[in-house]
Amino acid sequence: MSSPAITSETLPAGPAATPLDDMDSLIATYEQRIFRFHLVSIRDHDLALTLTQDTFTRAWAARASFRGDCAIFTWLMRIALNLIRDHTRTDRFRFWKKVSETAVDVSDVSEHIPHRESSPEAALIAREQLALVWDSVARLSTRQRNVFMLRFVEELELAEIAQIAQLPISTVKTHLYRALATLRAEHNGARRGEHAKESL
Amino acid sequence: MRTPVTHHLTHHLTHEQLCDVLLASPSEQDSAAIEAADDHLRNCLTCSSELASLRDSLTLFRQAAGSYAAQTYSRPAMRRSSIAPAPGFRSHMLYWATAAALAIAVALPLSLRHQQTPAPQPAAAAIVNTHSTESDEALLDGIAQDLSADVPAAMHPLADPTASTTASPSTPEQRKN
Repeated sequence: MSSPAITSETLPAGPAATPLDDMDSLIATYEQRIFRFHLVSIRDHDLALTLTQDTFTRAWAARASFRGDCAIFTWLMRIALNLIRDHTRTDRFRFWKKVSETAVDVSDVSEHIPHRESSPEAALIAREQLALVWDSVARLSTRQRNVFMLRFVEELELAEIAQIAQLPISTVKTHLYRALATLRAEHNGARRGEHAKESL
Repeated sequence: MRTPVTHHLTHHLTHEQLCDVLLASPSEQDSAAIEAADDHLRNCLTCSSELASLRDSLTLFRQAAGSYAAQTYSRPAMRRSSIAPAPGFRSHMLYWATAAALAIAVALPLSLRHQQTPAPQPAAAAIVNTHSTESDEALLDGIAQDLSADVPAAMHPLADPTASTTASPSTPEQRKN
């Protein structure tokens, strides 16, 4: 069963004119970024596609409630974040452990490590570094992970993250400190292992 | 005179200080706390190498994840699966469609067989009837033939002896009997 693409034509007509009425350009501008956030957050390709479409469908349905007190992207990301929260809250969803044909593995992502002018050894180290971050992120709580993604993948400012997550900046910082503590612990453990190998 | 440097070297950056350096936006780089941390980092190989390693890992993660997402993102895929039938829903649909197809595949030949099965019975009955009709007719024909057949000579009624004397003279054979 195939359904039509989300465009302003396929979406039901709504009441008043808002900045979100031009859904086609909105999708063209933000779809890829929203998809990236979903994909990296939930690590499932099909689910990321579905949630990306849900994000725009919800945005269209709720466009009358957009007051313009934040950027459109911030508003869309807030919807995206809520969708992820709703989805990960369900019992059926076994976060990060879900066995799915479309689940994203670190080996899929490590193929995309940028090719620097480096030796095979350096490439191997880069893969290990990526795997380390990948595994560390998997161990974070949902809140920590969301905030971590917004900061280190989407490269958003703390104030924007606070708006999206609807949290005080201090709380956002706390989540980031904890997330980075997990990452540092993994990192330092790996480095100690490397030093031990070198000394042998 | 930079006495704080010695202090910084004996006490490495705290976790929060290190995080603040990582999280600092360009506009925050000039803050006193960040400047102090930078000062320490310039003189502390342990902290600076750890920070560099963390930054490198985070950059790798962002670049690889971004590149992977960009590659897997495709408009046609989005169009195919738009308006959100969830993967679970799709797999359920596939499951039920397969189940329905199997049910039809099993039921159709059975129903056809069921429809065809009564047909041979009337045919057989017709054949039996035809056979029985034929045999009945043959029997009746046979009876009719038997009935219509000439009565054997031995069964012919005897001729009136008186009539024979008057009407026709008897043969020498008759006289012998």
